[in-house]
Amino acid sequence: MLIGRLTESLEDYLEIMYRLLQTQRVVRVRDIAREKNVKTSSVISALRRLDKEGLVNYKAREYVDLTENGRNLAFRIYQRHNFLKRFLVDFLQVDPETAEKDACSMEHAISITTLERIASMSEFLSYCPEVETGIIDKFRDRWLNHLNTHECHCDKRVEGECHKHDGVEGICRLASLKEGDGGVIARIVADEAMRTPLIQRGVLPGASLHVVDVNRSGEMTVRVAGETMRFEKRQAESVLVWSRDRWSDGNGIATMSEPSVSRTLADVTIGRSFRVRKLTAQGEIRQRMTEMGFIRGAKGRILREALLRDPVEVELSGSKLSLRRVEAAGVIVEEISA
Amino acid sequence: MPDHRHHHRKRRNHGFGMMGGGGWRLGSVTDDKADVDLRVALAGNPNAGKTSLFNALTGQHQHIGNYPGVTVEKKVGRIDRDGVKIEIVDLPGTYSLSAYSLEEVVARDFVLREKPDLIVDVLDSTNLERNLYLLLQFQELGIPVLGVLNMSDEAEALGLVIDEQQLGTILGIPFVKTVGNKGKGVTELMGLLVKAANGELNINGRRINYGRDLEKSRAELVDELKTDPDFAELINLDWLAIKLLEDDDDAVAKVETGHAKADHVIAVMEEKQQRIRKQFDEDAPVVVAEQRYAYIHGAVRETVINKEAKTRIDFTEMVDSIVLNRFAGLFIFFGVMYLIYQITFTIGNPISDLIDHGFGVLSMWLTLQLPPGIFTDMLVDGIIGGVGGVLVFLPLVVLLFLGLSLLEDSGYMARAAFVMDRFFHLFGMHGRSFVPFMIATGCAVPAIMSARTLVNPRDRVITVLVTPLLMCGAKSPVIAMLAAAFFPEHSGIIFWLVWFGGWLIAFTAALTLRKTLFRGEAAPFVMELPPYRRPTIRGAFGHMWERSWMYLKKAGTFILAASIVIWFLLAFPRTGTEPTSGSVLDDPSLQASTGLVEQGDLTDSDPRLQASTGTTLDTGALVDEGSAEHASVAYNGNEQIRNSYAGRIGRFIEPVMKPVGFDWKITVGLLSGFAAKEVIISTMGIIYGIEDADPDAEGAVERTPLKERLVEDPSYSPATALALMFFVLLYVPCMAVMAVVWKELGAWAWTLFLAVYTLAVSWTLAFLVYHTAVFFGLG
Repeated sequence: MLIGRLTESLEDYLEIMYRLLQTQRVVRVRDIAREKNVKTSSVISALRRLDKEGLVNYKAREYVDLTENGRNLAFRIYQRHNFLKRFLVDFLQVDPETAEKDACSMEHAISITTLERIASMSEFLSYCPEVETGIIDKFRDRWLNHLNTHECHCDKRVEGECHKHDGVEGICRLASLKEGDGGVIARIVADEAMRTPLIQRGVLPGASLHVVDVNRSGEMTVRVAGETMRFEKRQAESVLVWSRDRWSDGNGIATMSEPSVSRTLADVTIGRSFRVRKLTAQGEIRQRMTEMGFIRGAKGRILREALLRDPVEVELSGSKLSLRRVEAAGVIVEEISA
Repeated sequence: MPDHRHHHRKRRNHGFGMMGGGGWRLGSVTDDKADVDLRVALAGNPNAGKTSLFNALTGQHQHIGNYPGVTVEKKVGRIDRDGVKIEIVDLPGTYSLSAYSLEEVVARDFVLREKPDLIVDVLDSTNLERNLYLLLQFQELGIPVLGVLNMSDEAEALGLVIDEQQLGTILGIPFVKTVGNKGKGVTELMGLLVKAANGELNINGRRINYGRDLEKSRAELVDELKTDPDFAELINLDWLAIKLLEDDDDAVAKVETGHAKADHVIAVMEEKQQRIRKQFDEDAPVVVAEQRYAYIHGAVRETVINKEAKTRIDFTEMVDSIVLNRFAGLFIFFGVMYLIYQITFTIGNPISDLIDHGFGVLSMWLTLQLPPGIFTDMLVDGIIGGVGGVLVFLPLVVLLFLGLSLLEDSGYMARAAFVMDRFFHLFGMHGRSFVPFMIATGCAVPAIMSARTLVNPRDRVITVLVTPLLMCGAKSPVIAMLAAAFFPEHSGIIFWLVWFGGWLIAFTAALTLRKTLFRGEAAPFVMELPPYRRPTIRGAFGHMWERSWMYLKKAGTFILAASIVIWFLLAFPRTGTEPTSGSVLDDPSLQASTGLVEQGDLTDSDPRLQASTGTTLDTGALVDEGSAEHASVAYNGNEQIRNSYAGRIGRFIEPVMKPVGFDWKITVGLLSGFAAKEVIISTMGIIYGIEDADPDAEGAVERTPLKERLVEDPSYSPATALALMFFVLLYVPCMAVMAVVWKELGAWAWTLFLAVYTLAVSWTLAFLVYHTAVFFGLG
């Protein structure tokens, strides 16, 4: 199925449903109405049309679900949106609100050629050694009028090779990752014939990925931004993975965060260091964790666990905290080298 | 009060309307508190050294109470420096000002309602970022803030160089460096306070800028809030708007109850939250928090240089690698707890006994000195007995809190919770519940007071409600006596069975409470494990003194009153025409008022009881004199009890107790046990000692110990004894415990609930035990 067969508005509906499904098990008509700020009746008529297209299951009165096809299409739109917004914010320094709006309209109109070119540009700027050190950061600092300059890690930017420090940092080929490994897509090194289909599937720079399974022939099952997809060995060879997400640098600059579930603090091995990406805990626990310093970009280390493996002790931004495992499971982190 | 100090008037309505500009002249408040020149609220993170600074500032001039309506402790201190009078209110230690924890709501409401002239925020210099998070929020409330960089010596030792001038410029408030526990910088701080009181301190509070997107949402929300001018008068709208964006329950409630167009405001609030979520792809509360941290991050980067890049946890981490080791940690934990227990009871019990004994001697002496009569009775048995009953717990409270505050101040307490949490959490409690549980095996009174280490009210209430179910030092002689009397072969096993039953039932009760009355998400366990610090003597003794005084003042008065009531119930109406000193002495209410002592001590002052319980006499001479007098008077203790109000109540409720196998005599014994559990023995001693006693054959009767008399009594069977043991273990706690529960939880409802549920549990269990035992042929 091609993007473009549906109207913008219908595509938006799919995207909204996809987005809602990231955080809740089912989508109700009124959730969509509230999200899109329209009447329930308009939602219903849109859903009927999408149902006819075979993209959603809309039989019962209240709950809606995406079909396999609908889910694929929605994911593509959703990923384009994320990528474009990220590009606007991170590279062009557009403010988040405008970026959100622009991404909303661009996602429907943009041709695959332009999308591909933007992807190339972003890769070039962030990961190619020939670009002057810290150029994006300098650009960003100018825009944000921030006094400090952002530290750059270009020295680790060695293309194609797996440079791991303590097994968690550096750029690797996706094919070299093992089951359970994860990272962020840095670059797709392939000729157009292979590259375009990947980009069209939503494999875009900046998306997080997580290897679910590798079979004997080298074919991989990978979750990209929370969506499971297969990579042939050839394709996996051509995807370079940056094990650290350059886009959420904890400087308090609001950036896109990945909807995918990478790792929670509860899964980090004792002794390892981590960086906080996101809190999924809610309510009082989230509040308490926020005030104790579990904030995006904060760095810490798991020190030890109690006799029955619970609670755990953590060093976070220079102080020691103890928390139960259930609480730790509400913090999404990435592992870093100490 | 000299007039010249009143020429500056405090601006009442200082909002943060003028960001960055304006500023406040600090000065005297004359409206309602004419005698105070400056009202200061002392705030800060837990473990930031707030208490030692408070003590250093106020010295002995402190007043301890509770914040209205809640059991969060409120300390108020006064300073009188060169005629300038400053009042300092110690706010609860918090990390933030959200609406989730009681402490935070209390701190916030105090500032909003009382509008102190100045907030002094104590910061841990070694962890500035997290500490400044709270300071920013105080700034937002629109009250001038003074920052105290406490523990600056520790920061220096770590190579942290803080430019307090620069930090002050960025945040628009003055900062002063102190070392609270060594008294450094306190003079400078005091100087600033005096300046503030004299109106010579100008604070240009600068509010944090949340960035264009959030500020826009905030401004629009403020406009919405302004549509009700009356509401706008009352509250700082800039602050409220941010709190609404943060989805703060309390702020929402303020709007819902106070704003004329509440529905509309809430709708706008939800719309703004949605917008933020869309823009930032993150929930609004998180975005707000991130902006605060980003702001702090920037400020700290410009003012703090880390010369040596050491972290403060080097030493602490070294200790923790042993103390919190998965296996060694457990042994260390039990070792430390054993030590605390031993200190409390091994040293405390003899002192308690001494106090008890002293009061016994005093009572007897007074009885012999004063003319016999109702007033003497009341003085001796009611009042003096009551005072003794209060004081008998004091050594335990003093020693326990000395130990606990040493643990708390050194930083070990949080570690203890870490070690024990998994186990206690299984039963819906917190790791810190261990301390009250452990102490309750000695005495529930200090145990319940120690439940204060539990910060979360839900954890605290559950712990307080179940710890009285454990076997304490006062229940054990009763149960031991019954076990020895009816199961001479297996008394040890039976005793431990009951002891273990107490633990089992307490944990079951905790779990049940958690699943029923205290349902809901577990309170966060996330807590700081503060660096190990050497406790100061002053801090430890200060805390000990505070707790002891609170006990005497709050619980003591109640225990005293209750003991008079119990005395009255047992002593009235009088039997016979002649009130005798003999009957007074034999009256159990004297013993009723004693606390945690062994049965022997209890009965020291009563020769008959001693004889009947088979203990020896050690107040020989005095008692002999007394006995001589008694001998001439017809002893009628049994009749007295039978006809007393307590006796009547006992007989009245006998039908209810019949199904568990208890007759009125046991019932009256149990009633008197409300005074103190071990009194059950002495009361029953009086009843049995006399019931079929021929006054002429007194000696013979006295030689028969109570336990033998019980075994001989046909209305007792091993089944009754078993049921009674469990009933004594579980039924309504003694009045001292009830008093402490009431004071600690601050609610009659919970105290009443405790009485009712323990009664229900004990009756049911005794019923089951009795009938099971009868079924197995022990009837």
